Amino acid sequence: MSATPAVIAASPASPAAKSGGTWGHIRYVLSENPVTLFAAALFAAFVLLALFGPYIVPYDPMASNTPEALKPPSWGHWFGTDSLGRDILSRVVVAARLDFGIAVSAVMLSFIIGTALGLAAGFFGGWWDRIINRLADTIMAFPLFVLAMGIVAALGNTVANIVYATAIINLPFYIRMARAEANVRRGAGFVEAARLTGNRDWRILAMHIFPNILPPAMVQVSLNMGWAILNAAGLSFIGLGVRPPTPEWGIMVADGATYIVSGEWWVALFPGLVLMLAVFCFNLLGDGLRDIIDPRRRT
Amino acid sequence: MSMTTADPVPLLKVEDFGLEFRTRSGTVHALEHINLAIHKGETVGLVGESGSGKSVLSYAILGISDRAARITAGSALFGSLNMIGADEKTLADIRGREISMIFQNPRTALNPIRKIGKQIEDVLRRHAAVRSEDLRARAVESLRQVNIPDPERRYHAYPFELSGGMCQRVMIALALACKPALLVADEPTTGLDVTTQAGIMDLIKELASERDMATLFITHDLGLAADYCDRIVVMHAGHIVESAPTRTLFERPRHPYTAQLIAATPARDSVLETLSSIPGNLPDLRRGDLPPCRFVDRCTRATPVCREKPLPPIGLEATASVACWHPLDQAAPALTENESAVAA
Amino acid sequence: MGLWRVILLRLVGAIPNLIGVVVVTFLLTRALPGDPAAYFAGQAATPEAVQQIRVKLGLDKPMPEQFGLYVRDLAKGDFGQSLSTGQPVLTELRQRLPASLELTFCGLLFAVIVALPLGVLAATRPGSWIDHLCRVVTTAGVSLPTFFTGLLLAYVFYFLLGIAPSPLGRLDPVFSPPPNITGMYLIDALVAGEGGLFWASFKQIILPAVTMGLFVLAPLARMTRASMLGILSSDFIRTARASGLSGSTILYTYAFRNAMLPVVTTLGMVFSFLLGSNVLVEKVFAWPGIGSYAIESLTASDYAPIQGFVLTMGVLYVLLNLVIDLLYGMIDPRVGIEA
Repeated sequence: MSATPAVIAASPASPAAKSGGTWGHIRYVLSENPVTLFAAALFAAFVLLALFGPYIVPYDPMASNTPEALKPPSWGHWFGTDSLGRDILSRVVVAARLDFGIAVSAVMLSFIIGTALGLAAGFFGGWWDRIINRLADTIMAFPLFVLAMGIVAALGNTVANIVYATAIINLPFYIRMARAEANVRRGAGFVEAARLTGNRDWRILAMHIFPNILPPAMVQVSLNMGWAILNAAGLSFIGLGVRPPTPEWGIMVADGATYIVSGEWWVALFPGLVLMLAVFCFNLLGDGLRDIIDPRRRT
Repeated sequence: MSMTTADPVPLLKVEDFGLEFRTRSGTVHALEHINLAIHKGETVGLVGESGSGKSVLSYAILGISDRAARITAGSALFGSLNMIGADEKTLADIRGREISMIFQNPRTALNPIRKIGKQIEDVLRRHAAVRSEDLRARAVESLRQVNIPDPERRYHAYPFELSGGMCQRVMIALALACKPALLVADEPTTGLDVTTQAGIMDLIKELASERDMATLFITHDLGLAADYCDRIVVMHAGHIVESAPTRTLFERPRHPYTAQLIAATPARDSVLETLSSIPGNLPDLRRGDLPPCRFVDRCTRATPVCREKPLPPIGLEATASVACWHPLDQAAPALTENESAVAA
Repeated sequence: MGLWRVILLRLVGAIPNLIGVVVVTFLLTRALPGDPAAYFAGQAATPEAVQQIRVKLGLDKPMPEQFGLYVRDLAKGDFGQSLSTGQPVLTELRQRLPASLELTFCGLLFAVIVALPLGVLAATRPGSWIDHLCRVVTTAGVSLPTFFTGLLLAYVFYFLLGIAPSPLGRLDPVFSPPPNITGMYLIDALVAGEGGLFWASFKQIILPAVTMGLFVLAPLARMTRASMLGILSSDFIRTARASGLSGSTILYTYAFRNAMLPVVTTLGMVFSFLLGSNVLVEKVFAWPGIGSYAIESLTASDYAPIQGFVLTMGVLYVLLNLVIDLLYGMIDPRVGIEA
């Protein structure tokens, strides 16, 4: 610990941060953090790809063309073709929609239910707390991917079940976060005041406590998205959930796996790279959000 | 006790020392023109508000300053070695063996997951030529010398198992294990209750006189310094403003800041209403236009000359000196706009 | 003694989790859509066979009774029968478990050997190239899809460079496995004094272990770096410096040991990832562990092995967390008082 003398005058706030409140602050942080800006741009690109991709792809992702099977990347097929002659680029682009869709649905579901449970546990305490804690602990008693496998195997091999399984294994993060926040604020002055003015508990939760947990929740959501995509791709890779011929990044890598050791590297490489890029983007975004919201936690 | 025969060669001689910190919001001119001499066996009190630079000075001498620190001028002679600019190996040999330091918050200043006996052994192993078989006995003996009861058992204790006062005794044992010539005590009793405070200070005093060890006692508590120090050096905003033997300082303070510090220190019969405080705050040390006397904005005796003329810094050899154009033992200057501003 | 009390308390604390694991695996199989008996009997079963299974597994009884039967069966070691191989599930799991464990631990070892020094160096030399490397690793590392990384590594090192052996399992068919003591080839080969066999097994395990470890490198390095940075600026390190202790003493005896505490806590999450990616890595490298057993059973719609697999992984993970807790308690003497 250095004995740095106390700096008396506070450093003047940067002019950019002063203007425009939250939006100005976001812009300021983005300009200070080119990496976060890059991640945000990449994220926007992916979203556009997911929304409009299917309309702009050069080939029909499902159309097989056996004479053209396993052709390396060329001007006609930028990412090459797979074992059935389908254009890999088109499939990769269309897969974005599916993978993003799974990730977004799963994380949203997880967030809503997990936050609600966590808030209840933290705010009401008692039996609520005990049971919900037990639920979270039980989920976390398993290696999460294994639990997801078990759930999908039990419920059935469908995309919907991948979403449910991914949602379930992400619940504990949100439960714990919401519970901690609610616990902290349960005895806070403004909560007491709200109670005294006749507000009912659920209203207090919704209006006063929930908005306070949004910032850390956003960080968690972003990081979870990346992980949810990895999860979904992993499950598809081992044959759960998405079935051929549906294009999905994980299942495409699985297809390519059989060919990679005989030299047809493009079948697995491009889907894998794009997958990596998407996850990377979410992680960067999550880190960037964390820096905006709580610079003290920067590591 | 004041020295009857002053040892002519000081143990530590800091001369015209200056230090700054590079920070994101500017350069902090933390210390300037520091002259300080400590003689063998002397207890010198370094007194000042938080932020006056007392701790910074001691860290700089020992070479354990923050990374952002830059030494701008001066020397710190320990014997014939200039600590400033010496290489790390030489400094590390001196630390803990010739010059030791104890800190505030003793419990956090000790390794929380290592037995205190082992921590003392670490210092012994590093500096003293002790055989491994004897290390443990020496460590226990160090604990005994700081009046820790049942030292053989306490050897195995962890800091969290001990009270604040005990932890400070352990730190003292650690610091004194290799019998250093100089002990720097940086606010050792802040945070301890008054009874424990007295116990720790008495212990330091006793050990210092037994071993003829010099002590640099850093504190913001003038009352405490009065009770235990032979000589007091007053710091303000990175400058030394006055230096005098204790009694002289209290009976005849010469710097306006010293007088205000004394007035602000509660005495036994103080009443809350009659306590005075020192107006204003420490100046922002990042300013490029700092006046030669940094007390000028808080001083009732300031005149234009104080803002322009560089002060002759306190000399090393004088036993009582002050850095001020209008010290209290001279006539007060005419009331300036500064005084009315301060009084307002 | 304090430590024994802590161990006992932790053991007791693990019991609810074990119960939870058993309950969840029970629910998973009984939550199968349609007729669970049909799933266990297999697709080729006749209606009579299905009915037999139904009675045998007690699927016609009320839920609580079913659970009781289930637990009783587990206690007897009856995890059911695999449809595809006809073997008892427990036997097959037991045979294959050492392979998975060996892989997991080698992956962890690799991750620790790389991540810890990286984190320490990044903390002691802030702003240097190694600090930047650490930051890149920690950000990029968690984005790596394990199955893809494995494929890439196999492609580059086996197909392109020819350094690595063919990714076809634990041992080149030329060799026969060492005499079985632990089931882990590396250990057994060393114990049997067979250097050549050890080396052959080692060569096969490098790529899969590295693949496993790469993903968990990131959180480990990140936590090590953050923890070291925090510790290095703490009060007791300042005291150690002021006492003139040598740089290495300060770094290892004082800083590193304290910094490891949060890292040990991170190991729980690390094992969750490792055990999960086991499945993926075993598929890519044809590693005959319980992960590939589960995948084969999934493909064959063979449910008893899957249930056994999930149960085993759950129990294993609970036990591993217990060990981590105990390890932490051994390093940090302050833990006893909070228990």
